[in-house]
Amino acid sequence: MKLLNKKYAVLILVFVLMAPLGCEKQLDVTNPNNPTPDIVKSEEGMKRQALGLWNGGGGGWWEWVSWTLLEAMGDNVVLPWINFDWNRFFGNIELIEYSDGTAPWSPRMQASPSFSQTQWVNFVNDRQVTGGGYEAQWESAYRFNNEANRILQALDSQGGVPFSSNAQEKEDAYRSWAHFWKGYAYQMVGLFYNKGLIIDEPDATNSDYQNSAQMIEAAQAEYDLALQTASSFGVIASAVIPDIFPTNITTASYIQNIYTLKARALLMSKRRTNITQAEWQQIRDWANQGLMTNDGALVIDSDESTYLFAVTHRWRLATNIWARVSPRVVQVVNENPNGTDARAARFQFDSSGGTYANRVTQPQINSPWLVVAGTPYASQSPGTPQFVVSAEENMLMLAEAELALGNPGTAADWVNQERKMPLQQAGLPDETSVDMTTIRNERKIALFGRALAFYDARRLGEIDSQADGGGVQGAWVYHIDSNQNLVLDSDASLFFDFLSYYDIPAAEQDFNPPVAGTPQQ
Amino acid sequence: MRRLIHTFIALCLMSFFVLEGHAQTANLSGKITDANTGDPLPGANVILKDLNKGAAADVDGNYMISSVSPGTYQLTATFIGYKQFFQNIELSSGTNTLDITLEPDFIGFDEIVVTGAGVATSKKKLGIDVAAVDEERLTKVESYDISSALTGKIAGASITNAGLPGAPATIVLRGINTMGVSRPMIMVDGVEIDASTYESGSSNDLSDRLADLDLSDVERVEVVKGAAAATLYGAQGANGVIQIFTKSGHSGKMQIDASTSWSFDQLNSNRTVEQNTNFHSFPVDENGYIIGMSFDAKNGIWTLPSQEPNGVTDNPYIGYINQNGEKVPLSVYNNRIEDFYHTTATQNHDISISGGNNRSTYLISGSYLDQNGIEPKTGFNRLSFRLNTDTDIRDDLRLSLRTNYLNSDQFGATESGDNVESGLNTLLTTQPFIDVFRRNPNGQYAPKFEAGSVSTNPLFFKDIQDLKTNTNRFIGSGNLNYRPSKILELNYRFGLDYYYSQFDRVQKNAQGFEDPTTTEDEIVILQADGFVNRIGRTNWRYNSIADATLRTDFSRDFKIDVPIESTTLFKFDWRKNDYQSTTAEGTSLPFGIDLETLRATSNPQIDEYKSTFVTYGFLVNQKFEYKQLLGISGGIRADKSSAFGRAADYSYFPRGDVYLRISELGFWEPLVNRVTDFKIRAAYGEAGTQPGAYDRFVTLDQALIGSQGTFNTSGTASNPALGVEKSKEFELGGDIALKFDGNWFQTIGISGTYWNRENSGAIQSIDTAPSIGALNILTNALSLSSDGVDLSLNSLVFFNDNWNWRTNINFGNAQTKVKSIANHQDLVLEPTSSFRYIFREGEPFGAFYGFKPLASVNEIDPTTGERYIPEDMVNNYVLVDGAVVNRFNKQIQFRSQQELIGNPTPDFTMSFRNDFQIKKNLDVAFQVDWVQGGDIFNATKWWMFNSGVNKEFEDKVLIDGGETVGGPLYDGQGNPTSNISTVNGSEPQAWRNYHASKRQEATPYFVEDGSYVKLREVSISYDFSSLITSDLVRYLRFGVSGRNLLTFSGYSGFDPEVSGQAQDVRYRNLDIFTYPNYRTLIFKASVGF
Repeated sequence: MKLLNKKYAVLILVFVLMAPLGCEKQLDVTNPNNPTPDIVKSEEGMKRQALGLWNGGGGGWWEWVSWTLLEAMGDNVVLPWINFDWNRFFGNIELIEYSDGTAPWSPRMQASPSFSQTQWVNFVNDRQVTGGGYEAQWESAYRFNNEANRILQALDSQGGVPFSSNAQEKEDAYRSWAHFWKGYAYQMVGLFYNKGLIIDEPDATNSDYQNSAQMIEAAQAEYDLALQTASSFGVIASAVIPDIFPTNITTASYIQNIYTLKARALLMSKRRTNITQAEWQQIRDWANQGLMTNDGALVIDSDESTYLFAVTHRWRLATNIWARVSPRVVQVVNENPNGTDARAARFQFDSSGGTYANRVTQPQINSPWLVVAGTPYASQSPGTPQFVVSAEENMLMLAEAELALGNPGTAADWVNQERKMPLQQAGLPDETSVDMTTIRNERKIALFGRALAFYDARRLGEIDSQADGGGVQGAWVYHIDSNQNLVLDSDASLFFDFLSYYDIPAAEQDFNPPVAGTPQQ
Repeated sequence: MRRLIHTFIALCLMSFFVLEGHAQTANLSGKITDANTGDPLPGANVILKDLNKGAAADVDGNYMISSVSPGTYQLTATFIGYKQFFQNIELSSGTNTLDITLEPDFIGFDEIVVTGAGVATSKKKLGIDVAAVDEERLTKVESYDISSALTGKIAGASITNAGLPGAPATIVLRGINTMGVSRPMIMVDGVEIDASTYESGSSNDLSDRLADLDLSDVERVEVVKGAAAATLYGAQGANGVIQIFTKSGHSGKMQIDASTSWSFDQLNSNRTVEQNTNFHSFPVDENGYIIGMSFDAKNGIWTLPSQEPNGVTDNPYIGYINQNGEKVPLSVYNNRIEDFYHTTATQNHDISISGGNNRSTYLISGSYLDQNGIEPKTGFNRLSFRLNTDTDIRDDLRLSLRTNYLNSDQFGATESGDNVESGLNTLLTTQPFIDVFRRNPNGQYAPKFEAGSVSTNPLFFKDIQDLKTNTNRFIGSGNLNYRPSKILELNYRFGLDYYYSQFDRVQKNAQGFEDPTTTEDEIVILQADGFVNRIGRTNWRYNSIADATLRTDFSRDFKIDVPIESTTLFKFDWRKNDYQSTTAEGTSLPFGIDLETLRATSNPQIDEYKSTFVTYGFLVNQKFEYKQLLGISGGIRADKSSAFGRAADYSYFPRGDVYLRISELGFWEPLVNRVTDFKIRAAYGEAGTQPGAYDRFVTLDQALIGSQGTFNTSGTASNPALGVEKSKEFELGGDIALKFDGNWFQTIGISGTYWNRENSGAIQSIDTAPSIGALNILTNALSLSSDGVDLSLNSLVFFNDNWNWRTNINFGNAQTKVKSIANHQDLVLEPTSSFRYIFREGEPFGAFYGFKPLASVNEIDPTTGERYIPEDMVNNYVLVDGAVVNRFNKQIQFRSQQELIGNPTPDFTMSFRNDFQIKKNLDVAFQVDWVQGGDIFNATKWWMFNSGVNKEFEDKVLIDGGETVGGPLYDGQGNPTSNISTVNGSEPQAWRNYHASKRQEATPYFVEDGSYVKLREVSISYDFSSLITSDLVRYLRFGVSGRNLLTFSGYSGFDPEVSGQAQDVRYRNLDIFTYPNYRTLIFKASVGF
């Protein structure tokens, strides 16, 4: 009895003491669900990372937010919603003056409290307010940049990436691809914010802020690096361009895309009045090497189950959920002095019910116009491409450069050619000579929905205050008269008074304040 | 570590030398009865302390201890709810008899507890605060789950119940200790079980694995509330521990206990949230009929005209001119809430059979609950089977097995807690003239009510969608207890908690409805062509716990003549959790064919996730006790876990406690008749909270573009340096027992504890510079400090042969502050658009922030140093109800920086409970819970203000000195605007603008005091067994009881008991179309044979 007791005791004791020895190994778990970043140093990992870059920019969500804002601030769309502080931040127009001049109507006075846009920006650029729209472009850009840096880090790592074949060509191509996206990211920052950062390491940052001009220079430098090794792009094209995208990007068209973006970066980063003749020639030179057909243009597309620009969020102009078409865009296609623009049929008037009626509190800012579903501007169906870069943009840049260089006839040729592009089919008679108004209007309609509207409005001075000579005249504005009828005033004036460049988002500044001596804008 | 092992070996070896044998044997038997009633006490324990040997009384109260050596022994008898019995007894060889009567312990000071103490210990000899609730109090009023049964019964525990059946309650023990879910560790019979929650419809409608447990099996619940008492549980004990003990069988003849109950649940609201049903702002013709409005009888959808842009005319809902130019009268509906939330019946049945002989006992039980939620198509069913056995394999070796099979079904809700998709939102914001319950001639509900609206008709939605979480679960544990000598006890326990829980969401193809969706995008949650979503979750949780307890008495075992007893506990505790989930989704079900499987969908997608978590720890704890007077103990626990890997160091959690029973000191002698017990105690302990299984791993995200796999950086950066959240708690308390002669206040017990807790390294994802490529980083971000007081008073208020009145009062108060944040930046959390909780250093935890109105036209903006309102504009503003209002647009002006506008933490929570027993047969009990303070952000009202449909929009407001109510709107130049129409010459009104401006952002207008007093429980029951002549029936009881029957509160929403967002303590007291709580009336019959 006594002995047995001891045996049991010893058995249990041994178990208790041995247990931890057996347990130690169990502590070394690995996460079976996702790979570590080192995976990029393998060929398959590199391939997936280089493709994953499309997702890195925020998986559509932030892209959609920032693109929508850029369209709204350029008066291509109107946003009736408070989400992201849209309707207060960007719908906060300085003044609307009706054609009879007697009823100047200030949207700002209707806001509470009545802030100028500058004040709203100060208010919104605060993490405690999380005016998401403000920082979307920054976050999206630096996520692209980070993904690109991870690719470069793997390529530069000791031993590099062990490619199975065509090693040098693949390395060159991935390197070019990474620099291309770094250029795109820096351009996103340099065109919108006062200051930006140049960051060349993954998962890292610095406080050496550059001004917007320096960011554009950095973007051009990255595009140049991309061009240096672009000639082997073809070997990775099928790996990095999603197979759901409709266009086949060859080495040649890849290079054309880069030149179009270089021309865009230069054109959009300056006030039109400040561009020198040499710069116009540079724009023309780059654009001449840019896209002439949309066959090889970089587009974004979605299929039924996966998306980049989410079908649920992107350009739901046809469904009046998030944004509606600015009456000034509709005005362009309806008031072409040269004839009837077939593109007018892409818009439909809908003031009854739906979001419009529910949110109509400021009809002067809101709009009764929708996009007709299935037109090139908007679709809820997967498989309808959304443009990043287009031949239309390239041609209109050529037209503008030629006009600035004193060749209105050549400019007209480009406009005529652009209007005949498959997605335009404007059906307008050819023009023999064009002026800036024509090009401006053509940009508004042909490049609708491509996130260029704010930059156009800025470089042409439209966003400036009334006192600074900004605004648009002869514009379509709706209001409700005393009989409750929705009335179109087709000769009103709008003054926006928006900022040209925006401060570093608070999300960045709070954690990464600019060091002393950082260049001022 | 090695030293610990050596110490343990030494202690164990020591025990073998003091083992002793015996030749002649003595037996002891007798009967244990209640000192007051004389009733037998089956299950009461008798132990010969010196031998560590005992027996339990059978159903007739008889006990028998056999085969011990003759000699003198210390005998103790214990039973739950009774005072401990001590006696020295001399046993001669042969049979000895001792009948024992136990005195009821009305104040619980003599209670034996295990949780937190490690070794079963009388509360008299504890330096820590352990709360215990027995079966009687838990089940007097039927509850469907353990959380609601515990509500109000533990001082310092704040339990907020959810309305959705099977959904989790938010349990906070003594203030907030972690960022996220504060649920304590849940143990059943000594092993930890999984108490996760999963989405069952939306992120606010959860399915709770704690709700699986069947309350009828529960004998007792013990609660330790924080680190001071929870160090034994190491890196997982920081939120406290709730330990549930299930019933055991008693030796003796078989007993059968059965009960059945029918209960009725209904909306717990004395009032309801009301709409503005008097005025509208649609355009009208000269007779007041709305123009531009139409109704499609086929699909039930209205097309509404634009509302007037600013202000309203005071037009009543007379009628409208339809598309054919006919005048159609309109009436308003104001009883939608009552029509949507039904009174529902719930049934609950249980039976248990128990018995055994003097070596083994068994208990078999089964129960079935069928609960119907007050919202249509919600509910909870549970089937439970249990088999508990206890077997004395030998006199010194006992095997206890606990097995429980559970099967539960939760039928989910539709997106409560959401401002767009919830049914409640639709009911409360739909125009009041719309008949939401209308079915079209085909018997179908309208898919939505307003063309262009993003809200779906919840009834339509419920018609086409089924939400269910089914859980199949086995919880089992085995405990082997070995007492090889009078000083050593070895115990090994293994536990397994396995479940497979499957969430199913099937939505039929809705093409059969006329225009189910004008476009797919318009109805956010409604995929018109249907979908199937299944999530299967498998979880295995293993516990393996070995402990050794060494109890020595210095005079007895070492012949040292000091009255000191020593207890040493050594414990090794290993736990593992394997989790796997498989998600499958497919869209587009065929129309008109009853196929609901993924196979029928057009493009099913599958995803899988696995995780493994392993942790183990050692504990050593040493306690010395000097007579009945003084006890002191100290210990340390060391933990490792796979969340940190093998290479990481142990996390150490020290503890210590001391008590002094002043009433045992000599000078107390004259007082002891009045103050029978007076103890002071203090304890310190540390405990932790583990991070997620893979939180420290830096990985790339995976996704698909088309069919191609991709990697990209996660938006939330990982932190390889992540550590355990540590909580350090100090508590200081006292227990005092008073006694009075006569029938009144025979005994009063008061326990009080002051506690203070510092939590460091609470894990939270905080913002980081986006330029690093991620938006935030998961890190040990916050330090929190809390303190508070727990008080409880128990009293036998009155006692005589016919009457017995007991009172229990619990009081708890806890305040938590954010002590520091890693990056010293405010942490801003925005659970719903524009409503923010801001965590700011030095400020209360989880407070609401928003914009306060300007109180004076001369206020200065502190951020700019400039006036909010320029001096030359001052005349454009007037003061209304203390707020500056723009005279032109009637809008309230707000400050530009966010300030604290509300704190959800209550000042205190309190409960009063009274139990009466009248003539032994009639039981009456009631419990009143009082929560004082604690703000609620009424986001339901806030969103109704957004739509302008709240009742308050009917309130005319005096602006501009009151000469005109409202007055016209003006433009920026001071001219009346042309935007207001006048109808029948009536004055255009603008108070609507005033009301609407309250809701620019979160503002104090929506912060309400959440204080309430609730009649939580009330019950009357009568035992008819005395009327039955048969001996067969032990009891036959019928009762009527109620839960949450009455609520008194100034809160204007449905119920001030707001379960908040997914039991996350960061988002407390946010009432946003939350599934409302219910009240219950219960009829119950129970019988015992």
